[in-house]
Amino acid sequence: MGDGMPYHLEKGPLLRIFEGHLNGNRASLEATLGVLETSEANDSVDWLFAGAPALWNDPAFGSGNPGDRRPTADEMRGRLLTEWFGYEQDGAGNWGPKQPPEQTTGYWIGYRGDVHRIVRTAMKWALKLALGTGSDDRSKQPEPWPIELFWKCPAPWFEAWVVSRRVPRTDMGLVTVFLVSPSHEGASVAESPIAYSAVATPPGASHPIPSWEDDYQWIGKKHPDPNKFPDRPRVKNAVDRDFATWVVTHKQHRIFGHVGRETGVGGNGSAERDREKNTAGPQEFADLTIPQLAMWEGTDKVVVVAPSLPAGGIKHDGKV
Amino acid sequence: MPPDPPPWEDELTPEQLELFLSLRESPEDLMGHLREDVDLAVTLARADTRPYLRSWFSEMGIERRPGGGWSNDPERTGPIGPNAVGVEWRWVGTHKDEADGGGGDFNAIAPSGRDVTVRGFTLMGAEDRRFMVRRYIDWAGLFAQLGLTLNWRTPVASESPNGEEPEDEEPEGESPERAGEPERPEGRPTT
Repeated sequence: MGDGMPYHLEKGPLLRIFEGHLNGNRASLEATLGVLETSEANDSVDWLFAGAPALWNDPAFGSGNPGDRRPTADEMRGRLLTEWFGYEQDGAGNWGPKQPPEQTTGYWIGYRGDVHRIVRTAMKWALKLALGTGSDDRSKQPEPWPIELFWKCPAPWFEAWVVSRRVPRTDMGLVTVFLVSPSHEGASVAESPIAYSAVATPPGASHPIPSWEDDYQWIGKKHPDPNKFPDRPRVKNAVDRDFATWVVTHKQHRIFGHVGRETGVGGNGSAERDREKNTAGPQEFADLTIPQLAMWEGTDKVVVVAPSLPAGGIKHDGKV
Repeated sequence: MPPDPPPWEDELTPEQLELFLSLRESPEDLMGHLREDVDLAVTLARADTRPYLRSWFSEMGIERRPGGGWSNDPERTGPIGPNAVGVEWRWVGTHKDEADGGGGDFNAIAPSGRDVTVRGFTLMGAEDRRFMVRRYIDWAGLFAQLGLTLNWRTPVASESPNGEEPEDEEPEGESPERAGEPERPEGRPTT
C-alpha cells in the first residue's frame, strides 16, 4: 500500500499516515466509527473519503508538482479503490465493484473476494476495540487505545487480523491490524534485507528495493554512507528507538536445486539458479521424482535490520 | 552386456514385450513400427507412465478411484514429425481423505478427499540412436487442484555491488543520547 514493498511485511508511508489520522482522542475515534457504521449501513465506500477528514490533505502526500515524486493523495486513494478493492467509478462518480465482475479482484493474483468489506469491517472492529476499555468499567479508560497497521503479503486469500492487548502495568492497551493479502501484479521481494541503494525507488526502477533512507538500520553496522549521513543513526542505541519494524533473517537467500540432478540430463549450465526437476528430458527409463517449485536457502549470517520508511519500515520517531 | 529390462515389463503382454525387446536396439525400426501400431505406442506410454504415477501419487496420497486411472485420448495420439509418436493421457484419482488413511510423504500435504485429474503427454522417439521418452506432465494443474498456490512474488537479487559490508559500529550503550534531538520524554508512545 506504499510506493512499493520489497519486504514481506510493511508499514510504510501510507499506513503510517493512516495511523496518524486514526489515532486521535476518544471523540475523533467515535466520529470515525460513526462514519464507518454509516458506510456499512449504506454499503458504501464513503468512509474512505470522510472517515478521517484531514487524512487526504496530509502534507506527506505528493503535491503533484513537477519534481515531487511522491504519489498524491488522489493517486493513493484511487489505487486503494481500484487495486485493493477492485472498484470502479460509475458515470455519476460513485465507486462500486466492477460490473460485470472480473475473474479476480483488483490487482490481486489468484484471488476474488470483497476486500473492501473485509477492510471496512476490520477497521470498524479495531475502532471498537480501541474505544473499549479492556474492562467492564469504562470510566477507567477515558482515552482510546492506539491502533497500528501492518500489511503482510503474500497469503492465499485476503484476510485481516485485529489483535488487541492490554499493556501490563499501564492503563493502556494496543490494537494491531494486520492486513494479510494475496500477492499482487508486479510484486517482487528482495532476496536480502540489507539495503544496497540510497533510495527505495530509483528513477526508472520497475520495482522497489531496500534502501538506507530514514531510518534504515542494520544492527551492529554503521550507516552505509556515513560521509553523507554523519548523523545516522539518529538514535544511537537501536533499542531506544520509539518506532521500528525489525526483520530478522539470513543476510541473503538463493534458489537452490539442480535440473537433472536425479535424471542426469537437462542441465543448462546455470545450476545455481535452476529449480525444476525435469521430467521432460529425454530418458529411456528414469527414476523421476515429483517436481518441487523453487526451493529457498537462507545463506550467510542472521541479521537484524530495520527497513527504511520508503521501503516499508518506519522512522524512529514515527513521523512520515 | 544387454541393457537392463524395462522396469515396467509386466505392463506388456509377452508378445508386446518380445516385440519391443527385439526392436529396442534399432530405435528407427521401433519408431517405424510404433507409428503404424499406435495401440502398442499407447501401451508403451501407459506402461512407462503408470508406475511413476503410482509411485508419485502414493507419495502424494492420491489413489486411483473407481472408473478412474490411466486413459489416453485417441484424438490426440499418433505419429508426430518424421520419427516420433505422441500420446496424450490423463490419470484420474482421489486425494484420499483422512478417514481412508490418506496422506502421503510429499511434504506431508494434508489429504483433501478431492478428485484430481492429472494430464500429460508422452513423446516417444529415436534420439542419438536410442529409444527415448519425454514426459510432459501438468504438475501446475495438479498442484492447483490440490489447492497449492504459488507465492507469486518475484525474487529480486539484492547484493552489494563490491561485496563489501559497512563497518561495524561501536558497542552499544556508550551514548544513549540522540544526535541532534532533545531528551526523550518519559514514557514511550506506542504509535
